[in-house]
Amino acid sequence: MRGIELTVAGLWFAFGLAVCAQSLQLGLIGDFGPGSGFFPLISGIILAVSAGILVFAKSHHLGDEIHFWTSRAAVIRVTTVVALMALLILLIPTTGFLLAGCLVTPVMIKTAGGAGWPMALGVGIGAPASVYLLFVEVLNSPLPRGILRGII
Amino acid sequence: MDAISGLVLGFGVILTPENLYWCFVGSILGTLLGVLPGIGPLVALSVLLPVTFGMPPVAAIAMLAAIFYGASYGGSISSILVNIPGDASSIVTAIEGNQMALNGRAGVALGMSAICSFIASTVSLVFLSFLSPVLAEFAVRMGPPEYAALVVLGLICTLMMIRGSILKGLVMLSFGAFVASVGIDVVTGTQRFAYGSVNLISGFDLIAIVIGLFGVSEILLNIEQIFQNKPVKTRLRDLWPTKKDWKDSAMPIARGTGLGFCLGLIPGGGPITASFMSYAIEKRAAERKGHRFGTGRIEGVAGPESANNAAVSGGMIPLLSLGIPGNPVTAILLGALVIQGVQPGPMMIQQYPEVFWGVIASMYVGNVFLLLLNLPLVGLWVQLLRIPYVALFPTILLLAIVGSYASNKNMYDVWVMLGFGVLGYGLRKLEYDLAPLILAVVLGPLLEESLRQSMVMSPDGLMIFAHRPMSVALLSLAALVIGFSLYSRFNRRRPKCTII
Repeated sequence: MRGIELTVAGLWFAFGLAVCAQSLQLGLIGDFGPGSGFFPLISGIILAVSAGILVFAKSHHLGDEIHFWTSRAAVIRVTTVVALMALLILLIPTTGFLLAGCLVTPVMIKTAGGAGWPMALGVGIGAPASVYLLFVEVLNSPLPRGILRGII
Repeated sequence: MDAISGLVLGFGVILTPENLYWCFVGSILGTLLGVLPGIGPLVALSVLLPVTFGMPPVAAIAMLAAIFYGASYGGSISSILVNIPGDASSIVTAIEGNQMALNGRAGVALGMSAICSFIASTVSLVFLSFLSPVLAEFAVRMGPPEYAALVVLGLICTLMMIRGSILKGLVMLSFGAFVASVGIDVVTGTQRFAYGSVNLISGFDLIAIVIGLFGVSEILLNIEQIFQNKPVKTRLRDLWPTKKDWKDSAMPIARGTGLGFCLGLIPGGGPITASFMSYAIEKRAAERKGHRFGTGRIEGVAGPESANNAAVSGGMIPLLSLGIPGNPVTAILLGALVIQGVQPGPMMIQQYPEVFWGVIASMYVGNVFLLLLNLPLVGLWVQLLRIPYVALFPTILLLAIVGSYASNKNMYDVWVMLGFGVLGYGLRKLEYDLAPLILAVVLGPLLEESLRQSMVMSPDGLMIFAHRPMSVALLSLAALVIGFSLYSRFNRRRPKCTII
């Protein structure tokens, strides 16, 4: 998996250079000493230099190699959870936290966890309801209610 | 105020029904989450942090400290009975502890783990109570150059203490400093890296970053392999160690406490390093006596458990006295204090004596709660180990969503949490240590402010650091740390520690 490591180090290097370029535009010297770009420039230089050395090292096969993925099933499971979490976050403003949670969590447990429907539905509805009750009723911290506003 | 009067004040603050209640709830919740395999103190703290937003400062920090202690102890239970550590500081406990369980001595391993955690924490808390005010008094005299040098020393210690590549740690450190600089520059009012976005102008929310980096990434790593816990079936009645166990454990507890406390003081030292170093020391000591580690030696539980608990109290000293967190856990506690309107640092003891001493007193009380509750309830914790992970991870993800939303009531923070969760997962897969990243996010603004103030104070720019004796001393110490660390890494004296 040296390719992934090399790519990531390359991205860090490019990111470091971009931070340096932006910091220079912000200005290094201000009216009262160092300007807004001074500190980010230092961060950008350190980032670019250390990532640059990493790129050099990885392209010359220095350092230990990392095994990135354990299996294809692991890739699918992680991707599914991330995608379903994104869907859940996307739904919350319109449907509210409780309804979005009750819709997405059972699917997450079924697909990513491989559980049967009884467990998926039980935990998938029970968990959002418990979290909602804990925050809204016990801790008095309001959560988005979406289309259920007026009902709950 | 001297330490004794401070402690009297602190106990007066904490021994109220409300504060005791939250300390108790924190102990229970922490243990409950810590017992669940794959959920360590960091995950527990990050997802439960928003629960404390509406509380008074002392109650909030008392609860968070108790969650942390509880989760650390809970992690030991899963290490011993299932051989799945709750967090990295329990990894070495699993080696001997699980062997003890397989040998039919799970009760003694759990009992010793709880008792030595209590002893080590209490001894370290006594040191914490007396050292913190002294250090804070000293720190009041420090100016911006000394503060900047101290933060640099802290970040370098963190960098040099990580397991894995220093270069990757440096990437994380500088990326963290960049993340901290996004938003409005408080000195000039200039927008930095915000690109006109209303959300980016106020910067990234620390809570969202912490929950993402430590909570979500941990879940993503765990669900790669959904596991079914199989706790060791063993007698749990005999929790109290025998006379021989005590004899074997006395010195490891003493060594672990001393080592853990000292390492806790050093930024980056923290519970993980303390437990690993203690295990190595005890292993060598046992081998000298002709005992073989890996066969279920009680010293391998007593030493590391004492060390990691003592390190927690040690780590509170730089946080409370200097406002400098030494590890991700104390960084979260710092965030919690700031949210409560309390700025940790040298002035905290004068400005908020009831919070300062209340927090210290709460740690004494929390430890007593843990000892009194956890041993009798060990059977209940074992039952929790049977809950399948597939039922747990969605609940934790829901808590992560609500937690990141709760601080600002803004869905943007939830996206930030998810983004940092995925980033943290990828970085951990590629063996980037996240501790320098989170510490740089927390300490970046302090470093920038001190650095800029120092340069304004001096006509010679950065040379001011060479003109002030304390900053020279601190920066020389930083150089020494770099030199020693590079030397030991080139010689591979620490396994898994490399430059690249």
